[in-house]
Amino acid sequence: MTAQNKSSKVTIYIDDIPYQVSTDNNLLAGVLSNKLNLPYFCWHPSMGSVGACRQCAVTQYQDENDTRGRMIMSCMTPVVDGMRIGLKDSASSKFREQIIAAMMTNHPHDCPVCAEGGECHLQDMTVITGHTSRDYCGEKRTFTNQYLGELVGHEMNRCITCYRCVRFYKDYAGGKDFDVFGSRNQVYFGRQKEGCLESPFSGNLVEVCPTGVFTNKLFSAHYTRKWDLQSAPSICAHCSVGCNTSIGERYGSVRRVTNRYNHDLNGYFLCDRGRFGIGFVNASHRIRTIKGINTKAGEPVTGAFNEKSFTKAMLEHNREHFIGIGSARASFEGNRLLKYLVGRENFSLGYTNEEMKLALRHKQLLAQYPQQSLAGMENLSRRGHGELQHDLVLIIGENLEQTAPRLALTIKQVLRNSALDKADSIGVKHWQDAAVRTYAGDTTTPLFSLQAQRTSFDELAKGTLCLSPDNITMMVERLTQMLHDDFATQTVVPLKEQASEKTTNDTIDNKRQANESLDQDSDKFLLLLARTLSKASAPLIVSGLSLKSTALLSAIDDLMACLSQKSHGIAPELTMVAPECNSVGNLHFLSEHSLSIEQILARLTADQDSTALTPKGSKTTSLLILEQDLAQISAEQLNVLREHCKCMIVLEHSKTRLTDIADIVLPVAAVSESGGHFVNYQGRLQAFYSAHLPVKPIMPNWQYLVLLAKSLFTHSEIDFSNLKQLYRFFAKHGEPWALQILTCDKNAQEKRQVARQTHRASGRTAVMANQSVHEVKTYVEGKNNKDELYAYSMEGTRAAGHGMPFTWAPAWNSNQSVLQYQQEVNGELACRQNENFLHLNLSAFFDESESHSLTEKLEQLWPSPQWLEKEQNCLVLMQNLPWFLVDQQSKNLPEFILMFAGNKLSVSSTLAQQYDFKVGDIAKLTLSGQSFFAQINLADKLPNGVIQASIFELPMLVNNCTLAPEQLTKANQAEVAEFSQCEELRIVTATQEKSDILVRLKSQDQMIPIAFVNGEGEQND
Amino acid sequence: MDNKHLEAALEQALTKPLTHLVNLEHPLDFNAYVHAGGYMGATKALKEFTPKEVLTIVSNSGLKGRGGAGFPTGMKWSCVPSLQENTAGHSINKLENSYLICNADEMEPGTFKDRHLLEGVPHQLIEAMIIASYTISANKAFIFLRGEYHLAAKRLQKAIDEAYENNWLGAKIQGSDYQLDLYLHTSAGRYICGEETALINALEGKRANPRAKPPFPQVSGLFGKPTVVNNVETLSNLPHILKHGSEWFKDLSPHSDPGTKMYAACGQVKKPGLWELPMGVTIRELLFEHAGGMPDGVQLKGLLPGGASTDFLTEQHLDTPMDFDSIGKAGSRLGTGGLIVLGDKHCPVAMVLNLLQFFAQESCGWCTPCRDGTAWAVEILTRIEQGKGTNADLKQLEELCDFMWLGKTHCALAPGAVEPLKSAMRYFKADFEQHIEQGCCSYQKAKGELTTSEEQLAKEQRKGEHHDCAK
Repeated sequence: MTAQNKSSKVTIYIDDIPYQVSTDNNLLAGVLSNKLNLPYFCWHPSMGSVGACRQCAVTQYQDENDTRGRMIMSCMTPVVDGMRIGLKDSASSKFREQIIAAMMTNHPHDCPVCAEGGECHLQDMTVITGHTSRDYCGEKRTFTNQYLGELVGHEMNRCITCYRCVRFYKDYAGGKDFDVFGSRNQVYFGRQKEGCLESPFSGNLVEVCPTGVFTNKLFSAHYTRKWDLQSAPSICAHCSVGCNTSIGERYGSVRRVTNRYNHDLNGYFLCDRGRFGIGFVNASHRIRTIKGINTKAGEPVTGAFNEKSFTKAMLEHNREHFIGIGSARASFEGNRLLKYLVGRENFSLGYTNEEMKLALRHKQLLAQYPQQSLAGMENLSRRGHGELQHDLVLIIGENLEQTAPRLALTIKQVLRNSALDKADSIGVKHWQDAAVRTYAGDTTTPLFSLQAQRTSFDELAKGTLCLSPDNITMMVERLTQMLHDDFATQTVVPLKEQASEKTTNDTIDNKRQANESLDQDSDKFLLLLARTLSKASAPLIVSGLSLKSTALLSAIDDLMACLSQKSHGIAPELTMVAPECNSVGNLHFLSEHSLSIEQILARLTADQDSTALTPKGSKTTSLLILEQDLAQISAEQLNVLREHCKCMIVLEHSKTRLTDIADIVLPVAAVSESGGHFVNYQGRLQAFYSAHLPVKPIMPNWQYLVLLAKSLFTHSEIDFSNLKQLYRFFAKHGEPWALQILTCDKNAQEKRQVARQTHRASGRTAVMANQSVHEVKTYVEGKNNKDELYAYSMEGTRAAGHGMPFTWAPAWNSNQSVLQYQQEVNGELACRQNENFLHLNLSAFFDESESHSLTEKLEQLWPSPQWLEKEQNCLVLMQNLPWFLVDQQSKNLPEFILMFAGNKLSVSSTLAQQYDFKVGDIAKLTLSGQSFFAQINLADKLPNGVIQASIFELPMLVNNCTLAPEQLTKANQAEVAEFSQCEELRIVTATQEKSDILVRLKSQDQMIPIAFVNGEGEQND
Repeated sequence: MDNKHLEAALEQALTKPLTHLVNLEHPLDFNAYVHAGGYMGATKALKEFTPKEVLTIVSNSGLKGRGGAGFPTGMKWSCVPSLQENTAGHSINKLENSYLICNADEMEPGTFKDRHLLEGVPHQLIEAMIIASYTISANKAFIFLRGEYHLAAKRLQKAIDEAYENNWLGAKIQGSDYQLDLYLHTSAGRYICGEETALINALEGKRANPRAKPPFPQVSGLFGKPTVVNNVETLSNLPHILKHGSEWFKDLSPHSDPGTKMYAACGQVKKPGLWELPMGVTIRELLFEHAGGMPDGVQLKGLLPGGASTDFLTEQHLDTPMDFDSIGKAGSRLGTGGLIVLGDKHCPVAMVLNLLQFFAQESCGWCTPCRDGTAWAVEILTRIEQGKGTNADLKQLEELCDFMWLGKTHCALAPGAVEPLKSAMRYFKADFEQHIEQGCCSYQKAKGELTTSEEQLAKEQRKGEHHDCAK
């Protein structure tokens, strides 16, 4: 309704000085936008005002002559042109100090042992108000704390009752298992009963809490003060959203991840996978030594790294023909370099034929429908640029809380659009959080959820339908058909009438199945959806690749095409969730030459066949695999791969099944130790920087590839010692992305390097005294380190705005200091980086051979395997892993394993009857020779023939696969016993691993990474 | 036949409209209430007037809210969207339902007037709520009853059932197009539920925290819908105003505030009780004529004129009329009109401590000044009362009074707690100082409560503990 409101600034007088303040937000935000230190607690820039803490009181004056004024709460006060307020007057300053004094009546004096110490908003506000001595001499209230799970700690005695936690957890993030209890000065925030917090956003409590009630347990266990952390701006590697994070390190181990404000993407909040998943870099399954290369003495190279002997060893393989397999979780640079080294004909993305087609469809959708940022979806721009806000959300076949949790949080805010509109109708400002929620009640923007499983959005939805993947595709097709008819005839034709007209290429089986499922529910759902959709002006359609259905993607393409026809006046937006952090970056390398796994296998076996007569060992094709575990391929395929390649070189940071069987494993740096770019779901190229240097032989992937360029390949032109040289090289070759990056870097680095350490980092001269009495050099002695943007030092400039390694501002030690760097509250950061989007080129697929349809061409390139004829009683396996086990990199985090309730297989009661399963029985699932076991769960409303697996050993990439009925059986007694042993063992191992990691990390604090002391670490062995 | 009796009854009906039908033993059932002239006001409202006309009548009568704040009822109602001048009343009405809530959560210490009406004449309230609901176009109305009022709950429910049976509630009331459903809700019991927005939250099943205003309940109230919350006594006036007209109502009182008022007295008086009197009787008349004066040998020390959350008044204010303006001018509030009288044999510090303990206990815990300020004041008062206070404590108390004052808190609870404290510190300053100087309570000493050596010992011990804790 007020979408057209132009952001307008007016003049207000603060202590008689004029300031420009936006009327879109409240007075407090206006004051803070002008970088004036007005303390606050309960207000949050993203969650609005409720007026609880009373900390932001100011005095409002009628006019110039009014000297007494009236006290108001600035967070609850709209900005009016010409208003006069005082911050410095004694009445309001005294009151603000009294507020702190009152909070301190119960706040313990445990700052020395508090994890929040040194970055505590309460500390900052206390100092800002000038409260320096305590007057209260009574006893303090005490509480019993709760166990809230493995991730978040609880210390209620520190609570100052600002209500931010419950407002975030319940109101903002829609959590149900956390609330506020009690009254008076005994208000308690926690769960009704002790237990693991269920929300995948619980970690935000740590940042939302102004003091130390909620703490990051992993950080607290191996704690260091914020000012002693060495930090770097990073990009979350655990899903495709690409949230901006800040990784903090000390003594060579990563301590924590915190949110790094990005106006367009994550704003102030991360998901727990992003926040806690980083723990994988410290885990014991990290690879720290080179496997498979012997030195002269015949010993594997450990600890140190000798370039000469490495090169020598690798030269042995330089006669071999290499196929390179890149990955969607390796950096863009790593993939680019690998493709260059092996050549485009020998490069694979690590996708199967089906996945190749899926990727191409994905690429096509991205090229056609620009993806909005999260802020764009939430339409934060409604406050400025007068764009339409979404008035309908349709989620198709993607469980967002599982695959892209941060996006799910955004969708929850999008659903508030109609509530905000309603508030507009009575003039309630959007930042009046409590008032909006009261007035709007349960008003939500219509949401339709067409899923293969139940999701947390179901209860918010106007319509939900849970179908098998094939039927989801069919529903989308039907919907498009209905809309076509609707646009033609102005009436939505009910499905049943349509069904008879419909002609498709479906097999008879499919059709029967389809008609069967075309029950009343589906009909109702579609009719309602079509009607709502045809009335919506800016629908948001969210889908993704997790169902691995090419047909679904093309159905969505058709739907979008139908909706986008200008004449309908609908401005639809599409958001596609990609499987991994750099999946979209990978699409850049996708061409008709790209090899699928099947093609690699074919080539490997063909090679061998052609040399079948020659003696064994004459295989000539080898594999160079970059941070890829080929989780989706079967054990059988893996065997073939292994059997038929001469040499398997794997560059990897953690143990996988490939590193187990590889000939040579080169330990590459994880995201925290290396730099590069990830490309998020939108195609946004985002840079991440190393928080610390890895201990050799761990090196960033590109460094290993550069070494291999010399030894394995004859690419002498590849000789980079830093990434900038790599960009220059590819820029010279005319690759636009490299040019873009160079331009961005140039803008960012104008003067000196940016310090990774705070200027309070302690013990600079003493930290390495056990190694050397000499003072540590503040620079790593590398060749061209001046080209790097960030210094491993406390010396250097402070980034102010984009790319801050950590956030700090004078008087603001907590994460709230980010407000000091925003152009205005909730705005862009002051020094904004150019947006850097990857251009996805589709020409390879569309320009040539126009005679073929794309589908035919794809089929030709990457033919589908011969699926077993879909029988009526075949099963469809759907992934139902919890959010913390979806990402391959972080799923082995002990804390995540401890959160896992055990392998479960959900089946419908009909199916259970068919198989004679009872709840609690152990089922055996046989997938291409491998057996998986899981406990049976009964789930109602499961689509026909669908079984939902939440099995630790079964990776997310194995999804939506068809099983013959006999692949699911009851486990026999021996297997049951083995299963329960395995389940137990997993917990025991994780518990042990958790404490082992801690012991190792703490002992590591005593010794300093070798590479750090010796620069490039050219040590003699 | 019984002319004299009838005349007396009529006289009663015209001068004591609220209470003339009260029967605490056997409240009138539906038929008896109708026989006594009940439901005439509602009939008139429904049959003769449009909602806007009823509003005009009530506005003209000058009725002010009897819950404590004294806000004009007509003005409160007129903010409901359906009664706004610039809206086509009925179209909005169709769009948005509105609600009427009767605030029967009588939790103010020293106040028991609503209970009298609820138990004594339940049908009067139901009739009143029909009139009010009709005026604001509410199809659902709620009685939010204090949980401890078991008898009232029983009688109200019976009356509600009777009203349904006799078509005064439900669909098509008395053949009109008007429909009203009335629900009785018994509170789980918090003082803060008396605050209208906290009450609404409680009724919604949420925490009983007051809401920020604006938006006011008339715009966004129960479940976000337009809602009017009125006190029992306020509502109970409506049938009579409808029946006898607004001029009659105005003439009931010789003072600026019209109508009658339920006055009460408790504490150090000879005859504690409750009386319906014309608005604006003086404190002296109430205290000495109706409540029988002070007990023998006891002098008046001070009194709270309208419940626990009002400022103390003293001897010098005895001739103040008990209406909203006059009491306000005297430095207090009329509040609920229930006197709490303090004699000179009781310690004012102890009384204030007792009150503050109540307010600290009943704070909802939403805003800092109230949540932590009231508890802090209790901590200080406890020490002063025990004779362990210091002069710095008095200064701190004064600062706390300032800290919790109007405009600084989220609702009126903390300012209400400040009122007796602040005024006590003004009028009974000597008592506070005496506690500090003498290290004990002189009232207890005078009563001989502190003379035994055992207690002295105990006191010493407590003192010792306190010092330990201070370290």
